[in-house]
Amino acid sequence: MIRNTKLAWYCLAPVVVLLFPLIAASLVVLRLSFGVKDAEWTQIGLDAYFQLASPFFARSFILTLRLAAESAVIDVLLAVPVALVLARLRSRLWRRVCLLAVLMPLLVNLLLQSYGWLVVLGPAGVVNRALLSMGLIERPLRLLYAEPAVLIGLVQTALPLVVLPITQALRGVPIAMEEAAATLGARRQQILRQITIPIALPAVIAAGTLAFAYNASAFAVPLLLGAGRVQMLGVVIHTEVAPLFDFPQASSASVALTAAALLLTSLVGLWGRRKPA
Amino acid sequence: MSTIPLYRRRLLQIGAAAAALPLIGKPTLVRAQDKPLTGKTVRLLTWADDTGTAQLRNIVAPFEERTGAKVIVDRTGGTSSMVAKLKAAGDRPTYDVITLSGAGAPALASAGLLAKIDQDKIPNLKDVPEKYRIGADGYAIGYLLWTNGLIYSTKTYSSPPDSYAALWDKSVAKNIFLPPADYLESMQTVVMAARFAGGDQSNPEPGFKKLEELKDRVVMLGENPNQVADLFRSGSLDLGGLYSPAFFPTAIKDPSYNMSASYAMKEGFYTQTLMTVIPHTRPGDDAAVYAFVNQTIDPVSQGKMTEDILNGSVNSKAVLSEAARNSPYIPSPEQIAEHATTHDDAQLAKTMSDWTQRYTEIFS
Repeated sequence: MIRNTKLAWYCLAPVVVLLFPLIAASLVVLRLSFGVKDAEWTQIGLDAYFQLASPFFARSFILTLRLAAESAVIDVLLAVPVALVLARLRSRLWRRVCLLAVLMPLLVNLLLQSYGWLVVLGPAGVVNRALLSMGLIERPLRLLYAEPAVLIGLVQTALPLVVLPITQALRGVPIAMEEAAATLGARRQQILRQITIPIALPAVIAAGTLAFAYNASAFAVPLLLGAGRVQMLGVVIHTEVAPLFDFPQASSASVALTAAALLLTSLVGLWGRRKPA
Repeated sequence: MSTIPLYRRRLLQIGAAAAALPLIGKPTLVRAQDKPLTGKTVRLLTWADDTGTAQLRNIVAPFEERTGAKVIVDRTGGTSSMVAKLKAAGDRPTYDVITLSGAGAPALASAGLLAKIDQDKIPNLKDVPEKYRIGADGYAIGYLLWTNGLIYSTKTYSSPPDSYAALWDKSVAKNIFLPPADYLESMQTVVMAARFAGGDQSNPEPGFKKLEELKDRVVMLGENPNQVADLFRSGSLDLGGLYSPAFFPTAIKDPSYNMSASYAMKEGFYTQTLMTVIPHTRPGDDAAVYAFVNQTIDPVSQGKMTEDILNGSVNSKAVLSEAARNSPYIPSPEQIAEHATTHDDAQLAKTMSDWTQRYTEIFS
């Protein structure tokens, strides 16, 4: 028993080493959030937290949580059919090809992906050129620099994070159960609705909360695709740092966002556990 | 018998080498004596972008060549990173000289991290006009001028706009861009709009009301200059500002981008003074540090920086080439003297947070 515990600690050591800077940095941010501008380390105050109640921060907060929630829901709706295909593909080759296609966004830098959307949705982009060449419009449509463009970017970048856990969960649903239901007269839609999805539901909820947490802290996507007009909290925090040098304000907003995301994901997790399978 | 000729030959070779030694040694001795700061080191913190690269070429290299001192350069992201680094270092001597944007200098000065500049040790300062000479209550000196004007589409305008009124002309400027809230240009845009509407920096309300009139025609806030350039190329933008042509060093000279810049506004064009500061606690020798600071405003170095990065020079005697003088993207010292205007940094520091939020709320 003692040997196993020691071995366990040795195995955990790399994780602890990696986690230490993250925890240390989080504690520094927490301490800074209680600081005072220009005297962050020598004075303590709550002004930065009181400022979060102002209309400016409140609007950004609500926008951030709303866009994160919307993108999570859309991701789940898109991910389930993709995961079903991945889970049920018999050909190993095609399964690998599809998996690679799903994983691509994780392999490509986030900035490059956002630039890709600029190419697709921009005034001289693929969509506008197609519409102009078909004569459906006279001047390029303004598809970028607004909430819909940011939402598209958030959905696309978080999709792999949602597809993979749902695929694993669907693989765990015994095919024999689905076949048994079919032999008893259940249609495909009924099997999906009453057997497959309910069994995979905890994983679907977990994947959705993962997408929510990922997109709540989004910075590059709203910055590039929103071009300053979609003020998610990540962008606001960036402005507080540069050019305002208000590190306590930036830190308090970060702490509040982290707390809100943790609270919401915990509540959703609790709800998911209480739902009967 | 056969060793004797070899011995004589070897003696002749050694003798010739010994005779040549003074000729090789002497120039080296003279060069070491000419370089006054040999053995000294200056630690510089500056930007990671083109401005930093140009500084290596036009200021650091000639300084090292002339003085024999060594300059160790740390190129970090931007002014906010520099401020954060210095605050984190506290009293530990890390850097000797820092070049940063004007907004960073007061932040560091109020944190007690900077030394007051001894102006007598910087001879080139006498050629810097009063308004660009000293900043942050004596804790910074002017380094370069970031100059902002209007960026316009050559498809929309046959000649450069000569007034900021062009931004409010809906019949011509159907699609415009403005600077993003996290750029100091946005604060200058508020000042510009306030002055245009009969107010000023201490009374910005008319400016905010005037800016609200632009809301429907603002395509984007120019966070990414490459995006802005691409929009001009595709004909999706007509005009924008306040913004610097320095953001588009390549695109603005390429005819396919259909863009140009104007400093010819009758209300004047706006400048931001980039600053040089000296930390209170520093590792280097004062003589070397001040010699380097003097080099940053050397007229030849200033002229070369201006041409490289399309900034304005603070030294009124900056040496510009004929091509630079004729370039519409490089304000000459004479243009700067006659038409440049700026904002009050100290006053802006007090209102910036509030203005940034209001500006963001108008356009988001």
